[in-house]
Amino acid sequence: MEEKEHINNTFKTPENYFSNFNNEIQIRIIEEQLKDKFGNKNPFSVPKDYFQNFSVELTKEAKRKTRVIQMLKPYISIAAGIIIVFGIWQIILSNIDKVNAVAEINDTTIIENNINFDNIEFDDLNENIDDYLADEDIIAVMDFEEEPELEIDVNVDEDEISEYLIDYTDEADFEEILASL
Amino acid sequence: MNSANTENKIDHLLKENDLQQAFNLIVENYKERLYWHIRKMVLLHDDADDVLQNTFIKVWRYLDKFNKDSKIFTWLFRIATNEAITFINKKKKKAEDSFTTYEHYLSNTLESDEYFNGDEAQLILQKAVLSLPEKQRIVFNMKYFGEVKYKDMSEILDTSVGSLKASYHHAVKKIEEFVKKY
Repeated sequence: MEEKEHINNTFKTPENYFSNFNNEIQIRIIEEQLKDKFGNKNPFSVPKDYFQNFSVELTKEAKRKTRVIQMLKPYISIAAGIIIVFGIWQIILSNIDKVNAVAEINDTTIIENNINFDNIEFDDLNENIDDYLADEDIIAVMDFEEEPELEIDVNVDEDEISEYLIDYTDEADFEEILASL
Repeated sequence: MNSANTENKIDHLLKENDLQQAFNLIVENYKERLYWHIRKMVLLHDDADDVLQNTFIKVWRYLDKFNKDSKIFTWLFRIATNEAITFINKKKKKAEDSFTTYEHYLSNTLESDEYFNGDEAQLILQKAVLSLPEKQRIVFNMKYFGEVKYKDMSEILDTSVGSLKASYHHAVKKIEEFVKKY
């Protein structure tokens, strides 16, 4: 039917217009029922003269944030540096852990299983290695991906640090911290 | 000054690189619209005030980087929406440490909020909206209360019209279910 109308008509409808129509109208009906029952007027209000005074308050807030940023500036660069160094250090540590874990497999498994490389054939060796790899304890040591790793984003920039400190540090507290340094 | 004239004037000031005047005009003309957009998301006045101030501070900070070919209206609403979502997520994280959810806290606070003038029916509707997932809540508020067109919403939220319609349909059905209990 839709196709036939379409052929005889110079006008077009958006794709799936008629197939979606029932759903659209059903939603409109529910929406109208909600509006009849609850309305869609704004039930919120603001304190007296809030919008008239907003620009003044905004200027005060901007000045406060600028002041905090100026006070923080020397410390932000240091903090950014520390985070980057700490991040790199963590990456190095996690790599060392992986190397140590592999070393641990070599030492402990070989000793515990009393392997004598002189007495085994190459095929036996492969078979033995398969056996060791099937051992759950060894797999647990080797399964690095399951180990929870500390997530550190080394791409933190100075803006993000300032924002964090501004959001979470009260100016009075910050001045107190500075005084104690 | 109507909306189109204001946008033209702001565009002109930005092209002239008169950022201070452009900013003043932006604050004057968009503070109320942005406030109500934010308020519907965060519900409480003090929270809306915080988010609105943060929004304008961000606008001031990045005004020189604003792409002059985009619509200022879309850009402002996008910043305000992102700021509100960031604010809500921070509150949710803080609420994780207490014995209640952020939505539950809002729902209780709303009843005694001196800046909520709604009757019982409107309170029920607000509680129903609070029960929605975040994206559906934003879309429902914009469409039902703000009567924002899907096309504008699509630019602000950077989501396709089809996906917005689907979110709104789900939201309306969930709200219908929720209010049946009352």
